[in-house]
Amino acid sequence: MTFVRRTLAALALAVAARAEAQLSGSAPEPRPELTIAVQNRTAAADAARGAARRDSTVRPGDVLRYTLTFVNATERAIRNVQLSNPLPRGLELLAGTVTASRPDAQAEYSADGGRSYATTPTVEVVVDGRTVRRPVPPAQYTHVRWIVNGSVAPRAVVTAEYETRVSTGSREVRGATPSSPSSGSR
Amino acid sequence: MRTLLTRTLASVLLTVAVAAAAGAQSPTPEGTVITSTATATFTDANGNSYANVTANVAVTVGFQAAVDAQSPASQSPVAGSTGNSVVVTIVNDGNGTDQFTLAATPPSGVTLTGFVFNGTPYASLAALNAALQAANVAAGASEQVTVEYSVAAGNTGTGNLAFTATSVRTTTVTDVATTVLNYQAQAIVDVTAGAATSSRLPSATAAQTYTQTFTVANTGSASGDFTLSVTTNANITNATLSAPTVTLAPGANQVVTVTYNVLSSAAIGATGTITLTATHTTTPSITDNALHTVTVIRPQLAMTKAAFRADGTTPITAADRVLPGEIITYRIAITNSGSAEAATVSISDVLPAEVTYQAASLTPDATGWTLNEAAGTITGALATLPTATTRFFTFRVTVK
Repeated sequence: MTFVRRTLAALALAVAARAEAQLSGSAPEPRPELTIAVQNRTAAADAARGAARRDSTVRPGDVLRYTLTFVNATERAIRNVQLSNPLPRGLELLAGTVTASRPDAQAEYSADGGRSYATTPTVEVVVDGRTVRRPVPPAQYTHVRWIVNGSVAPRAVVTAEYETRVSTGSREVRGATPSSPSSGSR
Repeated sequence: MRTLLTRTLASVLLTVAVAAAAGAQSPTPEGTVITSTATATFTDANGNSYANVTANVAVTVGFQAAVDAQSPASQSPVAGSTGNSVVVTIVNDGNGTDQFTLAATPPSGVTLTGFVFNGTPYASLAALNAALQAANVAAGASEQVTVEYSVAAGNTGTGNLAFTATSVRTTTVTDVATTVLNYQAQAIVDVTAGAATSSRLPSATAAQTYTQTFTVANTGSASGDFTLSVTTNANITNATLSAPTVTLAPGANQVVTVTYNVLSSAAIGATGTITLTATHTTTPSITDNALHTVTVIRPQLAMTKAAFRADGTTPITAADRVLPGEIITYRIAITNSGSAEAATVSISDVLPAEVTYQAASLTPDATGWTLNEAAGTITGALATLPTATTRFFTFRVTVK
């Protein structure tokens, strides 16, 4: 956790928001904390090679790394910890970027707006008249969540990370074709 | 955890294909605020549940320029032609409103002659770009520019007409579209009249002909045979051509003559038209014509006769009286107010029986008159009377 905080602090372009634990009920304990931070890796890479952005906005195609930090700030172990994060419209989850700090934290995904979760969501498609199930591309995932199987000790920290790309749409890459007919549909 | 990732990665190949088939989407618009909200749920060791804790973070999407210039892959303009045009489409592929400028690189022997944007013509690229820079193009929208060009007569083979569209907001973002010009060798005919207008007297007889020259030129890049025809309006008759066809090599020209009459009854000021048309014998779309306009001219004469006292200067009005034996000076004047010189003007004046011509009193205003008196009849003749001219002569009589 110390390492993560140091890393985040060092990145000028990282945008962070912090939400205090929202806890209702009469019991004052436990009071865990959840933090989510975002780092624009593309902008950081640009800055590293001397092409710093003029503002802190993100651009289509930028890769954003989100870091969820869950801190058990209570004096007791807590269980059944589940971190979930709907993926906002305009962001596409990048395959192979979902990690967690604990090996017993299992990542699952939803591609149907959070109605169902699976480690590899699939969708039914009809191919040659037969219905088959195919994996949904990670870019079309709508939610990601982590289920921590074990208990989280007092003052223990669970971090989870994933990376997304800001949607570029279906625009063709410039330069891929030297010219295109003006009558062509796009 | 890594096991899970491995499984996820296994579908990457398929991912690409399905994503491409997902359909057209726009890049995330400039100004979009993307808020990501995380939620944690948990229980205590005894299984008591508690309210969720949440956290969120927002990022704002900035402007990313992208432009796609499009033009036809190829065109086939005629070498030696003018008025060709190509439409360039500039598509704003960026995620926000932008403006664009256009640069054009014509190949050798191709001259850009004008530009049209939003229905407004612009003579220069600089003027066009001033208009383009003021034109906002929304994300995903496009604008079109019509570029007009001419091709030199000597161009053969192909040339590349290249256009570069540049984002105004991010000037490093450009795109190039190229139209290949396949030059066509073809005859182009250009007819010009030797003179645009002329003024002619009506032809009193068919033998009184006029001629008008026209030049037929081949400004194209291939030789051609051209059929000539002449058309006129009703005031021109018997129009004939010196040659019914001409054969012209590229760059060559030939002068042809139209011989015609002006309708004898044509009114002064009327207009006669002569149009010579040259048309390629095998490709009728290659044609041109020129117009010559004939204005009909005629003389118009008016005559006055006035009486004066013996001094020749004091007018005798209708109220005045003359006495037997008194000398009267008559002055006869003739004016040409028409548009053509009058020829062989002849005046005859029969003296009244109450007066006697005074011998040798006929006096011209200047040389040119042939004046005579015989048996009480005065005659005056002029070889010519120019337009806007008045001539007169005087003579004296004695009241019987």
